[in-house]
Amino acid sequence: MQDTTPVAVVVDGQPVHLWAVEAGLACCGVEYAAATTLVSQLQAQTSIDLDAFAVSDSDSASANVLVVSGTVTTALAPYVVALYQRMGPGARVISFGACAATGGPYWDSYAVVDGVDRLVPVDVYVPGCPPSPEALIDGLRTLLLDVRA
Amino acid sequence: MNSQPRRGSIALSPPDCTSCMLCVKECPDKCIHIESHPVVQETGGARPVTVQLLDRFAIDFGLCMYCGICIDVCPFDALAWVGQPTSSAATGSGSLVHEMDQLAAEWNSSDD
Repeated sequence: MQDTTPVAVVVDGQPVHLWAVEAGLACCGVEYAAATTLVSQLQAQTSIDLDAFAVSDSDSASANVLVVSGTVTTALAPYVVALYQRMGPGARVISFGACAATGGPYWDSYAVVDGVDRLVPVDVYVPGCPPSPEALIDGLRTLLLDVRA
Repeated sequence: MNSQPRRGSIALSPPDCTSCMLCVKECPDKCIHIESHPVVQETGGARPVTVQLLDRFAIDFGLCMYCGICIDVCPFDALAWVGQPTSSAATGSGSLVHEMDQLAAEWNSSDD
């Protein structure tokens, strides 16, 4: 369910690292993994670590961004909340894809949470079904600008 | 020629929309909201014509799958792909609901 991945994103011309733990719950989990491959290519460039995102461990307790990608079923909802709570204060949440944002095509289902923002506070919504890598980069950039502001 | 950007954003031309509701009916996850009211127009013909005047047209991009079915079914080409591949990350779920004026602005800004 989770995978802590360092991803880099360019903000104001400067690549910035962040640690993201992914709750890949459905097909968007695969799409997120594919998108981060493209994002990670930016790491080849000279990178500047942002203090707010500087963590060395790779477990969810020290990750600073939770990426919820995929359909949040009611069965898995408690685990998403537990994952968020383990991350401690200051954790940011990215909703990746239509399902995480609103329930997507399953918004009317009895077994699906219609939006992960009903469980945890969401900082950035990345729309799409699935979102393109460009959309993820845009979302990460939006998040980092929000953190810096 | 494939000049239309796929999976960008979707824009609306309000004057072209007849509130026929085809996009609303065909949308797989019902992310399009249309409100309209009937207006009787005197056309100079044998009888007056009743048309639906568009009051509200909103797309919930939090729900949208960017499948483009609405664009394909629109008989009047009132919907179109615009802009770059999805780059509409939002910091609030409410801001993912684009109302008519915003959809129209995207339409106008894409005109060359």
